Amino acid sequence: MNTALPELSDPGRPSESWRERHASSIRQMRLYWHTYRRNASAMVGLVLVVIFLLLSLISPWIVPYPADATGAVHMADKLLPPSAAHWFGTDEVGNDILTRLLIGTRLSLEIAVIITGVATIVGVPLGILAGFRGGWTREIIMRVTDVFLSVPALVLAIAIVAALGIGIVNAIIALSLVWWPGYVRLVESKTLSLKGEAYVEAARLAGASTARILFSHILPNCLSPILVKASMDMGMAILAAASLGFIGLGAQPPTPEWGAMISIGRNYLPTWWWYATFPGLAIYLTVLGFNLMGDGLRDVFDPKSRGR
Amino acid sequence: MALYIGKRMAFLIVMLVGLLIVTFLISHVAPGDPASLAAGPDAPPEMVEQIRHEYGLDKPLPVQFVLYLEGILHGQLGQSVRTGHPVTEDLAEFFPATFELVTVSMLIAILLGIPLGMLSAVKQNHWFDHATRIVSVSGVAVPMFWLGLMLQLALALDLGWLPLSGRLGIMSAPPDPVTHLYLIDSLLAGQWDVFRDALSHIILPAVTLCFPALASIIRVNRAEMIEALGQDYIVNARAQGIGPFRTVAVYALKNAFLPTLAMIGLRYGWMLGGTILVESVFDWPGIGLYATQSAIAQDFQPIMGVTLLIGANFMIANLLVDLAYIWLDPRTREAA
Amino acid sequence: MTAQLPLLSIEDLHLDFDTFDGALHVLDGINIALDAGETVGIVGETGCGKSVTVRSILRLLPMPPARFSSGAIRFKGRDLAVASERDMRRIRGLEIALIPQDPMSYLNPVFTVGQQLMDVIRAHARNRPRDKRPAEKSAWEKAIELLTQVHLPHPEKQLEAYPHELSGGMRQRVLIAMALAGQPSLLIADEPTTALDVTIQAQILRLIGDLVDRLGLAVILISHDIGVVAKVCRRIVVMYAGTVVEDASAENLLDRPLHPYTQGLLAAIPKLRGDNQQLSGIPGSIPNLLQPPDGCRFYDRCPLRMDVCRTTKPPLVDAGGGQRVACHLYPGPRQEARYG
Repeated sequence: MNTALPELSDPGRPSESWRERHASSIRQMRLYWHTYRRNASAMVGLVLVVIFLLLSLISPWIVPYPADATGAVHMADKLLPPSAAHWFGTDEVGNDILTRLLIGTRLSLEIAVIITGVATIVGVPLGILAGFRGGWTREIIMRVTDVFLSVPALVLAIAIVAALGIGIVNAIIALSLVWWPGYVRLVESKTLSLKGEAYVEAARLAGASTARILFSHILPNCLSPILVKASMDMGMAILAAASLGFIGLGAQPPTPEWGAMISIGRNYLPTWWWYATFPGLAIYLTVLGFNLMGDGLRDVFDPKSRGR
Repeated sequence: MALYIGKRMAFLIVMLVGLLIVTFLISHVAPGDPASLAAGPDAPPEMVEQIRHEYGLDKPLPVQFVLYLEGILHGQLGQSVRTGHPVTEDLAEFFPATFELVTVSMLIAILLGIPLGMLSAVKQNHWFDHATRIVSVSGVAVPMFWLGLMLQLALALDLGWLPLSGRLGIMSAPPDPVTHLYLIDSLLAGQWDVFRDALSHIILPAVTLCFPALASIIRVNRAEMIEALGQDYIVNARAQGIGPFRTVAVYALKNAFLPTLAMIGLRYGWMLGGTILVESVFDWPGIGLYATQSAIAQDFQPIMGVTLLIGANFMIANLLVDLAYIWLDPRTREAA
Repeated sequence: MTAQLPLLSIEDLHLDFDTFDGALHVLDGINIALDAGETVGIVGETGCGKSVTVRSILRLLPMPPARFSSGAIRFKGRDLAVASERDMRRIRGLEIALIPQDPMSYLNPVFTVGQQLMDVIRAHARNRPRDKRPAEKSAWEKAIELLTQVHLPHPEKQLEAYPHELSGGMRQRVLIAMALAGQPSLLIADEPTTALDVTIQAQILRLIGDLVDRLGLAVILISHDIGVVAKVCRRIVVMYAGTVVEDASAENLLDRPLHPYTQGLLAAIPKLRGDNQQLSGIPGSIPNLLQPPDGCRFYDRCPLRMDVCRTTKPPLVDAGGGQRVACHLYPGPRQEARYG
């Protein structure tokens, strides 16, 4: 993604409309969309993600059994198989699983946004700083990043949750702490290569301040890999949180988090198979959607990277 | 070359120290009181105080860190409240199971992934290519623990083809410990039935664990093979009369293998994390299950031990990948 | 005109490339022939089809999307355009060998030069028909022999080297050695000097000329540089936009170029002596291969064009003295092929 140099303002020229000033960016966007649309799997991903977002927004209003969302108990209906009344069956306290799944969508979205958000907000500036400054700043930042990345994410997250205490909040904190180093590495290498570009040199010679260079030149050109990674990370964060929930370190019952549901549902295999099956499908489809979308974005921004 | 290895080893040590600092910070700076964390939730206050004094937790932080390092160097990783054993003993007992599982899993991923990636590259847009594409995209998205459960449901519970959990059936005794890897030990001792039993037990967890790695390896290998096959030296090989099999499987593959190797290294790390989930599903007595059970019981020291062990394991694996790179690619040999 | 059969005869070859936007008519009726031991150079600007032509001979193009729409490529009487892949493997390297353009990208970076050379030697030993197998000699010995033939110093050491450790000239010699490994009767050198410095160029050309004399090989040398071709080749073929426009001995071509394109090419060569002149080029660019013109493909850029040039393709005719040209300026007896 290339940005044009910011134009020098010409006092003699009448001010242009927003549309005119950003004409090239708008055209670029339309080109991206056009390329994205032609990719079948990317469109599938987009559809899945849109469905996910929609469901998380409107779920409280469309669930068939609203009371079940907050853990109402009616043992008479416990462990019913999938039927017209309960599309995905019921759980051990009689709650409709579809309802809980839909409410869980919202929770998953929150988790994904928080973790990915924190990771980018912390990781990207650190990466740019490391890449741009070089020297000791870079060494320190990169070594710390390397240490964090030398332990598999889930393992480190479990260690942090164990120290902080079990629960969904601490799980989110732990995962956020584990996630940001990935962005540092990504952005640092991109910044390093951008630093050597001619237009950065030109801006510096023209007297642009460091902040301006970072904001107008470096950051916009980092955006595409960041966007690709963030898109995939949304799905991966949900997966990680569900993993913690499954082990019992994340969301606790009766929170309708998909991983926690599977962990309970596990005890009811094989006879009441629907309990463990459907939440897993939900995770799979959601993560798949974000992955396909991220892949599609990568092809749009850098067609060479795909093996075509 | 030796200089490079030396530098790399020094780097490894720096990383290990860094990891020790991180684990130290987690256990000592976290909101929880480290003494009560170490003592466990049910410990009486006097015991907590005793632990605080014994571990020097009432001393300033830097001193504590030095004590901590000293302890590590003497092989002291603390005590598990749950099992009652020193953490080092527990780790030694459970690590072979994890090592066996992860190794078998990685082997499956590599031995299946590279040929499948190669075939997809050669037969692009064939139905085979599309089928493997679906597998490789799904592989990373499927929750490992759910996949394990579904496999258990289908193959162990419904069909009864494979055992549900554990490393060996109730009827089999573990073979004489030489390597502590049941598959190898049973072969060494010539105990075929034990070998078969161990094999049937390891299949489901290994397949579950390998799935994301398999998917990634297929993807990367396919992309790299396509890139390699488009290169001029392949045209030259054909022009000079070299046969198609050799051109693909030797000339192109050796070039494509290097980035694939990097992905293998990365995926090994993910696998070490994933083993925690898979061991939980299959009751596999490895350090992953150990960590999970400790976490639920709020038994803190073992978790730190597991973190250190897995971290060191991953670092060594990365070192090996770097060395393999040098061995395989003459151009990096120059740079080293 | 002798009645001897030519070694290679490309007869009215038409090659199309199927693309998303339609079929590109890349080669439009190529007629080239050469005898055993003859040296022919093919010149033309980038995109004129010279590389495509020679790669077609060895069937190195990806066959979909490339496709022969008509014509034949006769080598020692056999039509290579319809031969099977297995048969082609017996031809590649053993009968016809390629010396490719850029030695760095055409050598596999992760294998030593020796491994690659010996691989080729062993592949030839396998593909060679039984009656022609040479005396048993190890691949290593043969490799040393070949490297000595191409004047590579210290061949034993060079065998252990990786491509990036050698200089450009040395790499090119390795490629030449590879090409000679199968004892072919025809060498195709595709821009063998383009990637090299001028001084090394001269050495390589001298080597090729030397090998031609000693081994009696036929050579097709491709270049966009007429000077390079004139040094080694007795005959020069000029191609433009997928057609052969002129075909003459080197002396005749340089002394009296007949086709306006050839004249333009020669005029464009800057002269180092004499008064300062403007650099002359040929204005315009090659035609659209998706919808090529009905008439002469050079029509748009030709300073001597006539009305007939727009509507009718000029056939390749004999303009006397063994010189053939495809231009309406020289109407002559129509000739489809050189012999018969």
